[in-house]
Amino acid sequence: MVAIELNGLTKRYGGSVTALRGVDLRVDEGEVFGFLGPNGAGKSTTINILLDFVRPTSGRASVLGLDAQADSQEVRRRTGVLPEGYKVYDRLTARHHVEFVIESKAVDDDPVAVLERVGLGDAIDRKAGDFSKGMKQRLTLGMALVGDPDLLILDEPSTGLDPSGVQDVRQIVNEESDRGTTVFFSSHILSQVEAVCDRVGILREGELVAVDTIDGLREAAGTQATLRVMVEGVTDEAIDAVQSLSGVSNASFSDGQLTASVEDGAKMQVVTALEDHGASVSDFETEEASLEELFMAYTEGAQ
Amino acid sequence: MSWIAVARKDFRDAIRSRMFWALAIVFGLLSIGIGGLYGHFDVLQNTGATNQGLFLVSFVQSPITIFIMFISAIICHKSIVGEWEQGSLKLLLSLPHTRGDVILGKIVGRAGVIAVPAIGSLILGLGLGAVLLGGSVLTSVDFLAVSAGFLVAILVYIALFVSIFVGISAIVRSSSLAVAGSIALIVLQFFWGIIISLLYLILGATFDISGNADWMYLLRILMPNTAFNEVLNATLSAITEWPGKATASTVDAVYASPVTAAVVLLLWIVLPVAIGYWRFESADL
Repeated sequence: MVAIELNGLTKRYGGSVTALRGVDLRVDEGEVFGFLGPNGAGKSTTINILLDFVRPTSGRASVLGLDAQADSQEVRRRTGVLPEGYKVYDRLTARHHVEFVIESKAVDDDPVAVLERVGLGDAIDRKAGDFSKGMKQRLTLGMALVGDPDLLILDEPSTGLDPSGVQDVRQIVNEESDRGTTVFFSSHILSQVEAVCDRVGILREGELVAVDTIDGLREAAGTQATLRVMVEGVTDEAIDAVQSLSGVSNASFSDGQLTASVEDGAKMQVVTALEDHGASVSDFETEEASLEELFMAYTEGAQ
Repeated sequence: MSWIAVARKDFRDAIRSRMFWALAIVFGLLSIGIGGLYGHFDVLQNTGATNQGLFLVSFVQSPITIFIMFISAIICHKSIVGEWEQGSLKLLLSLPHTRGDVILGKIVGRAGVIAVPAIGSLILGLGLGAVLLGGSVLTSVDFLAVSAGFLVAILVYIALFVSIFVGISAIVRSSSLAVAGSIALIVLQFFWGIIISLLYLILGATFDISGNADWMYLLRILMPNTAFNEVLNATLSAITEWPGKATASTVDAVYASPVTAAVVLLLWIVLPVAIGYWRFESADL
């Protein structure tokens, strides 16, 4: 079954601003899908269309096999949402908020159990207006979990959370995923999706520039690894020799360490070249392209 | 039926605001104060218990209805557009509510917020006035009938203005426009009589309309307030010796009837909300 399907989804605001340009995407049921892109790339517009907050200019979105526009109410009945840029009701307690969702979805969850699950067990009867940003985020996540939704849509769930909050979100996503829930969440920080997502999609200026697993993306991006060699007796000729190897660039030497960007398979050639020029290598390490670099390559580089 | 959840949430939220309690206290003071003063001074002594009782209700009516109009504007003008601007609408609409549910829930919730203190304090105020008047006022059938009718009318009046101002809130795209629109409507109502008189003078100077101005009736009852008063006076004076008279009785034309006023009243309850719904339904949040 397909949880989310976008076909040629396009959204223009007021004729001039184009937020989405023909996005095609398919997210399978049970998948944890990370939706990535810098701020303003169109992530929230996509999510807003899934929830019928915003109507597409052209193209079609379907959620859980239902039309995102025509069957929006049923879509939202079966979906838990942590929206972006929301505001809680300051005068109502955490319990009131969860009770409102329970009543709205006509389910019979226990508000206390829901709030304990998101770490608000000791703030159940406190007014949400007094909550910190992180607590409001936990509350809203709790509201999204009510009614055991088939799909969780989390828009920038880590906003305002401290590291332990981020960890809690990750754990909840994993738990929900284990129960068969499809999770679709957006972030502008790639490292946050790495640990939980089966696949990611990267959005840039309203276009989906990549959809793949993290490993697949890394391979496709072809970003080089950084090689560091602890070495003594390095001459300028040795550095030139390393620099001239194919698949090696940016070779430099300082403080007994040679650094170079290398493609797969080139690092042993670097070590060999150094030793051929009379240097003695004591140790070396490679560091793969960080996810952030990979992300940059997609969102900023000319693909 | 998910508007019930919205209404309940809205009511719960509102009764926790300081505004609500300030409102309840002012309502109470106003109603008990007017009823009490009227009962104490008893200006219509010896005109009979029924008459005293009816004048008590009509004395309380005017300040209470004007107060309700202001309160409705204050409580309702941001009900949709305010949540929209702040982002709580996203929380609301990520739940399985239609946009129609949201508007209906807001109307019912906020009407409840006004109705509870309004009805409560009116019962206290009328009760106190009747007790102070003494005699058989409290047991006068006409007084009880008019009081009951008046309380029902107040509920209609609350529904009228709550739906107008929630409607405005759904039509506009910014809180400041909602404020401007609400104030404009209130000011228009206060000056409506003058506006009509001026119009009559101008038209009278231009055309010969003397003695043939029955159509003025339609203009007069065009405002929500005047339409309401027309219907209220017609209804209460039909069943009792209510002092207020429907102006339709002084105009000799087929359309000059409280029924016309009732239609206008209904349009005011329905139209702003309908336009608001149409605008809100098609909007990108």
